[in-house]
Amino acid sequence: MTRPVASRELVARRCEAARAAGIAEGMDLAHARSLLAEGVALHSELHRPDRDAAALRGLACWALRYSPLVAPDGPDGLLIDITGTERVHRGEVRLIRAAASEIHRLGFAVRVAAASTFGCAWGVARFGAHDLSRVPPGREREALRGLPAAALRIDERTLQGLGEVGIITVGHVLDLPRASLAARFDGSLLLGVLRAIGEAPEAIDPVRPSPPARCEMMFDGPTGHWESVEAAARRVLGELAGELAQRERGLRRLDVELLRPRAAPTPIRIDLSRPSRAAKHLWSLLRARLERVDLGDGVEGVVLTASRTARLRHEQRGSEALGADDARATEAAWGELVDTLAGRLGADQVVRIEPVESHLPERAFRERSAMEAMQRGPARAVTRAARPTVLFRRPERADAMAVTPDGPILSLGWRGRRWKVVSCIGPERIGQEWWRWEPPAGDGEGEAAGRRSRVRRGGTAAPPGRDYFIVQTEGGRWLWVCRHVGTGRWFVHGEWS
Amino acid sequence: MVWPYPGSLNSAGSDGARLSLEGCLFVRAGRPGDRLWATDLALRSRAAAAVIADGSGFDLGATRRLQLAAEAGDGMCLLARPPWERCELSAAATRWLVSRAACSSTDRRWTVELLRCKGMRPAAQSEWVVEQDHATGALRVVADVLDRPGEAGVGSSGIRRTG
Repeated sequence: MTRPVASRELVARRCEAARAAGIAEGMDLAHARSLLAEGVALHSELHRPDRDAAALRGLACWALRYSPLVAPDGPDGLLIDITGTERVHRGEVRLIRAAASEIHRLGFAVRVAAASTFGCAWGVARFGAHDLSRVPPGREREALRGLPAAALRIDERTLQGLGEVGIITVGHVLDLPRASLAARFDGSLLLGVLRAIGEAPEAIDPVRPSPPARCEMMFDGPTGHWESVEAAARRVLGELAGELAQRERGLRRLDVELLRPRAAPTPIRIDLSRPSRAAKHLWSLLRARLERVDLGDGVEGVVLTASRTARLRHEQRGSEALGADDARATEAAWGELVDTLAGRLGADQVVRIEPVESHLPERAFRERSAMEAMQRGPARAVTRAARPTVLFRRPERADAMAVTPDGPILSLGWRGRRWKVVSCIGPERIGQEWWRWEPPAGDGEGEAAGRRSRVRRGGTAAPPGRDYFIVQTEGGRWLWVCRHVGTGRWFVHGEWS
Repeated sequence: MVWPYPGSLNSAGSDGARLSLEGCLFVRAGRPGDRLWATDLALRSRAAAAVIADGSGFDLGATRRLQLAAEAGDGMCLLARPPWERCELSAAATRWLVSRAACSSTDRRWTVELLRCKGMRPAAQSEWVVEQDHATGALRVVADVLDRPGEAGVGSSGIRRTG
């Protein structure tokens, strides 16, 4: 990672391998290159502190498993308040070990220290002798005494000032009289000292992950009336949509639970192809699913949870009437159509067809569920050559008569009768994909013949291709006929209907 | 375009080169009731410009419903119906009979016959030959009707237009 300073690129962060090679932070990129051994490539990219901060925040949310109070700290630290939670993990030492090994498994280099104050833990974690350390309560001064003064979380200028008067370690600072600390240096030093030894309080700003939006309604008693359940669900859905509107989110997945006495709640899950919080659309989807639910002994309550959401910006009302935002309205209508179709017919019945980069006709397209959003740019079909409207799932055997081996076909035997060929276009050769092709084991006679002919022709074994002809039979039927180059067999692979 | 098809259409080869596939949605509807519902829903949605559906087995009521849906959604609906349903009643605006025609050149040809058109008298000419250029894929009407060969019928399908 580099950061530009004037016209130079300075190393801002480096990986373990770079550190071993002697590259230090703050070094010129050209200098760093010169340190590397011959033939070792240097990968560098711009350092983006904002992305570091976002990742650290993500790690902080992950660390909520250790304690409910976790705060990201500075560029590279986490402050975790483990007061009371060490019992859950059967002791502070086990907790430290578990946290260190799990963070290490995530791919981070990690140093952990536990102490009675944040300040002490901060200093010991960064400047202590061991990767994992624990400071017993009341021993903060001893733990910090031998560490450099930087362990007190003071800024660069104060540190420099301390160095000028010969104060190098925390011990020196602790020996100074408090009054002179406040008088000779700015307040941050004294505050740092007091916080480290626990004489000044410190509050952290913990991360608060937002729980998924959830709305519920409980009945006074179980009800078997479909109408009441319907009305309740509709009302709760409206509340949920309002909640999402406040958060500027749209639903991607809605989980509905109908609570029933003496029975497991019925899970209903509704997936949406694109985020939406339109109550009317959501209701039409939910209603179709609710209708199929067996109410059993009655329903005690309805719980709706927005398990997956995506950002959905606010829109100006009434723009439709003005004719603006037509594209977005069409987009929304498309999403609603897909959701409704998939809700009744099943998600795998509503598909888009996507071209694949393959010349083989049977592999050139594939189905994708329409529920998946199409973020990626549309793939392009490899060829624009003519393809039949119907491609047979299995090519059908046929035999063809031609004057010359590669010449036009005169007649075709297919589906138990002979077809006179009126016109013939081709051949178009489509090669086998060599990366999928395996040399035949020689089980069939035709395969063996194919191998012989290949060896005779080129000397090197190449996967056999197919020659395709577009053939019009008497009566105006257009067929797609192919011949395996290796075996010489004929097939009808498709038809224009 | 939305294409409710009951599994028979093999999409892999379907003239993917000519059609912009990104804008197409393919829907497999097993039962005839689902098929009608899906067609109707797609027609009413403003996302679908045109709907092509398998119209086999749709009765007068069903086509009436689709006609209304097409009017509501301002879209176009093409129903492909097998030739034996030619005499079924329907509320479609126009009905066409398309049959394959042989051609001596390398272009594909069809005979297109206008069977019925709402609010119009039968015109003098109600039959055209349409030709698809092999190279460009463009369709054109062949002016010379006289060299039309008399072959028609095998697997011909009536296509009706609603809306």
